[in-house]
Amino acid sequence: MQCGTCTGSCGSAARMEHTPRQLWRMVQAGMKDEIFKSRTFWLCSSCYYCTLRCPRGLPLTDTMAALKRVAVAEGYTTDRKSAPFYKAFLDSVRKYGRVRESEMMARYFLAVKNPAVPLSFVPLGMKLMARGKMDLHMPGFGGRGKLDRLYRKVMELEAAK
Amino acid sequence: METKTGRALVIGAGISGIRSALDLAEMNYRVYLIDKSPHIGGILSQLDYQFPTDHCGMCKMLPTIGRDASSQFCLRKGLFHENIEVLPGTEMIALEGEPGNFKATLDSAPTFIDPEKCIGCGLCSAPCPVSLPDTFNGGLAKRKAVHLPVPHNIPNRYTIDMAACTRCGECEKVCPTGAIDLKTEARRAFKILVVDDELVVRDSLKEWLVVEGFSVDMADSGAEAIDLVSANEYGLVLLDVKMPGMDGVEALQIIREMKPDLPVLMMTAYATVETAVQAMKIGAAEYLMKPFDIEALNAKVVQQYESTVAVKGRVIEVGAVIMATGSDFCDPAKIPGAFGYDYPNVVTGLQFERIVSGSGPGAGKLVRPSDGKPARKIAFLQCVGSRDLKQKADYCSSVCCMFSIKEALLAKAKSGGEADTAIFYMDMRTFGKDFQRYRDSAEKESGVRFIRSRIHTVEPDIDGRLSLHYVDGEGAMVEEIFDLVVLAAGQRASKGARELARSAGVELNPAGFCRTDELFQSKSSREGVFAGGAISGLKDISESVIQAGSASLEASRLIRSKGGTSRPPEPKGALFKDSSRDLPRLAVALCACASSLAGGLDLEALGAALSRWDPSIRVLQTERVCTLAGKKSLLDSLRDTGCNMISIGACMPCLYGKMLLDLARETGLSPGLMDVVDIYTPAFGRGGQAEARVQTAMKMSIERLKGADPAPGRSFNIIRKALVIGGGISGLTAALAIADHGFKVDLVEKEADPGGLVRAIGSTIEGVATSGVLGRLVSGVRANSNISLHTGAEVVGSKAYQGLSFLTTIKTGDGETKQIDHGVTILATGGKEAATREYGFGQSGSVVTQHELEGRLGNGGAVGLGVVAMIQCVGSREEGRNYCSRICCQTALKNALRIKKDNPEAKVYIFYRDIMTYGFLDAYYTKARQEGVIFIRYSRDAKPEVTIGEGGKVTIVTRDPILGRDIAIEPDLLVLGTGLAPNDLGRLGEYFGFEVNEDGFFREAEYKWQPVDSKKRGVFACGVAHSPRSISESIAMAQAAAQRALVMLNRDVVEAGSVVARVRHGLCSLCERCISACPYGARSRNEENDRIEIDELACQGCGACAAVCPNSASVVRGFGDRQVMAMVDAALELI
Amino acid sequence: MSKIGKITVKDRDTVSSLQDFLKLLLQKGAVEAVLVQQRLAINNAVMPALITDIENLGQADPLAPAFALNGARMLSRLTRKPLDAPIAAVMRPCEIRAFVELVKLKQGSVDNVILISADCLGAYPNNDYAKVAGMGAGAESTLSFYRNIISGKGTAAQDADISPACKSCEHPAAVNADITIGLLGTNMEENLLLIANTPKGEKLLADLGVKVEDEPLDGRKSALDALVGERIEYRDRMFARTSEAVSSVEKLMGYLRACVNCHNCRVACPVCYCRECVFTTDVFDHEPAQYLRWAKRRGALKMPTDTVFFHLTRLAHMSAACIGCGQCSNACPNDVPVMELFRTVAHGVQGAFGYGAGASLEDEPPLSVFHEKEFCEVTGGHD
Repeated sequence: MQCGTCTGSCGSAARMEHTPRQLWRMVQAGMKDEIFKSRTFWLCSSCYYCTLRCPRGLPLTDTMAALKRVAVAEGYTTDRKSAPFYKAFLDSVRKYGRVRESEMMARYFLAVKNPAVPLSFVPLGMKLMARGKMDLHMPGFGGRGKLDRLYRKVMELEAAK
Repeated sequence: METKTGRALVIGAGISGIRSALDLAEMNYRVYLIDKSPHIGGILSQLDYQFPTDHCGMCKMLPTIGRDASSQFCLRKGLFHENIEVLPGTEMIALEGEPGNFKATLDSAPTFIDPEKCIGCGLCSAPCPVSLPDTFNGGLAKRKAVHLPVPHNIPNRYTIDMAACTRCGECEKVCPTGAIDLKTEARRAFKILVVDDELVVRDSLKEWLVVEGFSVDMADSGAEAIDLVSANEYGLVLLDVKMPGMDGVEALQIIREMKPDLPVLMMTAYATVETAVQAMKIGAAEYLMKPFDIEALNAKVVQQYESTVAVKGRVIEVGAVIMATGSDFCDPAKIPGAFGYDYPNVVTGLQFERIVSGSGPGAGKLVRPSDGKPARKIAFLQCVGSRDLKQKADYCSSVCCMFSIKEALLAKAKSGGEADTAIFYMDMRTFGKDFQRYRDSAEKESGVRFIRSRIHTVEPDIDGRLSLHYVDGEGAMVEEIFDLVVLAAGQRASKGARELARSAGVELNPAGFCRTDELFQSKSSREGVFAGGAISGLKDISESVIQAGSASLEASRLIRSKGGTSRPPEPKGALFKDSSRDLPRLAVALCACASSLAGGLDLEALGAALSRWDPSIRVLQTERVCTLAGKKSLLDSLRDTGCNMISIGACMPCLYGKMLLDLARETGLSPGLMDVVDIYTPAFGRGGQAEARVQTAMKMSIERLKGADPAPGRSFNIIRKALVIGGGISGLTAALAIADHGFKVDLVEKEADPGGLVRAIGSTIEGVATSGVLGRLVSGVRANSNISLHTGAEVVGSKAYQGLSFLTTIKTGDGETKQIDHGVTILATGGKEAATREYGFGQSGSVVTQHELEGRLGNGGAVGLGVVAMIQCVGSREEGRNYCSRICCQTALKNALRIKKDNPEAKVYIFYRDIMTYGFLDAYYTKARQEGVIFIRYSRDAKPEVTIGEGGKVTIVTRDPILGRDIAIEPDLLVLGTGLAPNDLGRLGEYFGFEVNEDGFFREAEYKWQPVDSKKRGVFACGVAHSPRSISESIAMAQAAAQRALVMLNRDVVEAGSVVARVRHGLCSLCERCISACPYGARSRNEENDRIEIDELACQGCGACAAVCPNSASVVRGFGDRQVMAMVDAALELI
Repeated sequence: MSKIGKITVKDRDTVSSLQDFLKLLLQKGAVEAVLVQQRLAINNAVMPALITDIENLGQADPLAPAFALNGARMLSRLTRKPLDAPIAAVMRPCEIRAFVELVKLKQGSVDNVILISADCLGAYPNNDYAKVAGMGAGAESTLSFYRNIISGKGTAAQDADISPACKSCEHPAAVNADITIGLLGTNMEENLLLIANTPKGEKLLADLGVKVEDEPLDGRKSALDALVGERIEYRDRMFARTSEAVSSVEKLMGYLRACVNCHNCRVACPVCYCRECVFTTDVFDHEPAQYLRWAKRRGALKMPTDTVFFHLTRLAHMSAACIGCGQCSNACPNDVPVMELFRTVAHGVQGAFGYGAGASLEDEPPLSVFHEKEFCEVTGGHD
């Protein structure tokens, strides 16, 4: 209904170049290129507030995620920081059954191929380490490799579509 | 002569119920008006201010013709009509029999306070130890368990909220009249059987219930329970679901077989809720969830107990039933999810009404509930619980937009313009008559801010203030802090609708409202049971009043068709003797009953003082004058003294209307020569002051009577025939309704064929083909011998005569003129699709109107359309035609959905300002979006730009407000929603004396309360001639207009009120000020004899003429100068 | 710029030049009769007369600083029913304004009437005018009145001055007459202006063959402004004085103490239009016993009763229509300052309704129109 609830409730809306409401409008208008060139949906942190608040019960957060998937599938990811992050995250999960944070970040930094990015995280990393919130040690996981099958199955299914 | 009288039952005494009851009562049916609550007025009792005047105006519903039959008394306080029996605290529990011959069973709530004895002194309330949220004030204040349900009712009786009452008995002790009986014994006699296998549960339940005053037996198994039930008389069984051996459900089945009337409450843990629900299907009354909430448990037990002590099973015979139980509001605080709707300074619209009400908790000051500080920044949030699929409310509550605008204006008024008010909305639904101008003026003149953004959550700020985050028109995020947030809480089906539907045997729609015929919305699924007001859907006051009229019309038609009659027995001779030539002999009767009420008023001394004041009067002492015996002794004394006027000092004058009429009939004295003075009102205070005030009140009454005009009100002839102008859906409906009541109708249609606008419409948005209903109506009209249909004819002149009598000239197609005499006139001249020159209309074949599109779609025209654009509000809602045509949005949706259905590939764009899908229509808006119709908003200041290129190619460029950029669309077809314009009324207004508003629509006497009446007696309007409306709305309005007309036709003569104005021609200077001052158009200058004349039927005795007349050439009977000055002198005597 | 014609004054005799103009009306057949002040042969007084014979216009003196009664009442008598021939009425601005009120009250009609009004520099009270006019001196006193004003000597003469009503009158020029005869802003001993304010007035000037030209009226405007300024100053002092004098019920009773209920003020009042006043009807025919009862209650009863009530009632009825001509005071045998009280109250009442009595035929009288949101500050607007 273009009521603006999604935008109003979105914690990231201020940093998006198109607010969620605008984004849905662009979807309706079929402005594919512009949508995928924007970083709006990448900034969605999946807090689900908009989905909770939407009076029409629309699955907005899921749609954001769907946009991310389509974007990856259609290769709209080249100059984005978020896509490598998601990829690093999921690769880590795939490998170990859970996130191995340090390795994930390392992979992410490698993937963005831009030395400025890791450097920009240095202050945050130092703080986290100082408070013991970050462990450089790579734990071994019981779940290693177990999810790989699941991943492969999903890929097969998606390819079959 | 028929002697059988028709009777009707009206359920629900809110605005619709009162309207229906008055309608039927005015037609001389006997009406039972029942309401579950202890008072009448429904939600209106809580609302002091109503659009568009921001005043109340309910009294305008009181009868204007034959008005002496009803007390002319504030309807928010009470309803007194000789044909209406009001039964508060009463429900219908069964309806048996056939339409026209129903037997309705009524249960009345038990009364712990005898209404006959309660004098409303309030002494009981003081010692009551209970304090709970005051429902009348929306929980903003506290009340006691023994309380007044509505502060301003008359008579006002206290009631006890037994669910909260602790039965401490303090109120019983202090009641000066012994009116309170808590029936403690009855409670003890109410035996409850508790069945549970767990001892702890049994024991604690027993303990609680015994404290509550009940007697309790216990059983630890199903088998024991059955033994006990067979051996004892229980009032209630509390039965556990899960027990070893025989489980609760099994036990229930056996108990049901043994004692089918014994109520059983199932007790269940969360895990077995399903089973408990199952149990309800086999006859359990309710279920209770463990662990028990004592208050919930108590409430349910008390409810069962009260239903056993209720006055059961009064069976009344009625011909028809009208359900008018209205709707309820949802409780925003209970909407799941942390929306912040439960902060102290977040209130509902209704609570806001109570805050600004003079009878509210803060005496009408605009303050915050949390701390009583002034509220100076107020936000109104629309659609809270409406248009919300998550709340299962895919409908618009229809009333909230206007409600909020009105409240924002109230806030402005109450704060002297200081308060900043902002309304946060999605679509501002100003779809009713004059709504758009009201909104415009709120915005432009009063500075109410309208912000199109839905607020997702109310967040707390410091100091009790509230923070709102929203996106503004530019797409920027804004945070704003408010003192008070007012929620437009969505409407819900009324709480009792489900039970009522069950007992009345009617179906409900999925939203819980009464399922009605799609076009005839007062018809429920059961013949003889009708839906009045908001029970049929979401309606504002005006629409409810119309719907109520439609329901009473249908009820009357049914009762009549089954042999019931609305004719009263013929009066024998003149009712009252003319004592205008007799010497005035005045008696004063002082009622001694309960003289202790006024703190021991000395009636002897009072009598003596009055005799001194005027030695010619006779003072009589009587007792219980309100009873039959009292009345008889009064009659005897009157006869002995030979007095011809009487002033009675008693209590509650409003209750005496009927009694005075009886007294008048028996003595032959006009009721105008009788007066009742409330000498026991608490307003007089106590002690010596009270004595002086009582004396003054009696003296004033004496002086009033001495100057009274003994002549009764005059009667006038009526021509018992109707003229209906316009043969569209409204005219046809109205004509048939009147003809079915046995009256002759002339129906004049200017076209060669009847049908009007509806002929251009294939089907309604609901998918009902219009040809069917139109065909039925037309053939019904043609077949009805009471109706003369004149087609190709128009009215060329009309003249009104004394009484209800018109002589109208019509000219038929072949140039012939005919004269038609009639007593009432219904204007149903309809309207037309408005013309336009905007958006390239007329320059390209690709630009069409919605009607033209509809014509094409009927012929498979959707196939082949690639892109269709629709522009709404063409020429509407802006000066010129600054009103919403109401049907264009639904027409656009209907056609868009049709295109999508026939040709799913087609793209449909709708350019709109606000989508006006009020009520259940909103679901079609949802559906259209689901089907992929794209909606693009534009504003009045930035309309879409349409260019017509070569070959008529259409290009639309508009700024999308969400993207903030221009978009261009090249549709194959551009469809314009041009709205409805009224047909030219020509000189009809002049002929029949009604007014036309600036848009050319009929101007009703009063938007809310007299929506179909004109100020001119006997002239009514309905359908599009009144304002744009849909087919079903036109039908309802036509029925309501027919109903109002029938009230008049149903009489042999029409009686003017006894209080009417009169002109003393010898004093009159013919300045004509009275003519401009008269709000009823009742006065005119007769040019032939140079006199001011009064239409006594139209005159309502308001006295405006007497006030503007400088030398009292205009006087109101019963309020003469000398009389009033004598009363003033009497009033000042003791000061 | 207005359509302006001129009357050239011969021999500095403004009065006879004006008479010539009026004669022209009859000569050209523009009207059948002229209602105008005429000098009486006996004591040189002036009274209105309806003149049909040109010769009689030789006695007309519309400029005489006197009006024995408000001529609007007379014109109302002439026009209460449709007239079948046109007449002209030469009246003072306050008379014109009173007539406008009466027309709105359906007590007269402007159909077939041409309203002519000369600028008014004031008039003497009836009693004083006899002294000022002298015996048998014809219009000489009129001419000397204007000469005194032109020479700056003012309006006072022979121990008399124009009435307080005139001194406080802020409407010396009748803007709503069809023709205004302009004295201000011109040398009235040489020229008189003929200002057509209405289409009817323009047509009349054309019919009479008066040459008209578009002429700016700057000089007239500044003269008018100066005069009105002086009068408003006087008026406001009068309002202040009167408000103070009647600021309580006791003071009001004192103010009206000399009233003997003769009702002359009401008879003289041009806008008091009732055929019979309520105070002469049976409403105030009290029972004899009533007097005693009142006396007993208060210890003493002032006789006659109802004097204050009479004035209050008249204020209630007529203050919205009061045009301030002052005839009430003129008529009072006991010198009760009725005009001062009326004008003070009327100023407040008319101000409250945004209404100017007599200003225009188009403005509806306050009591004839209903505004939904009126006096919210009094009514609270909503309750």
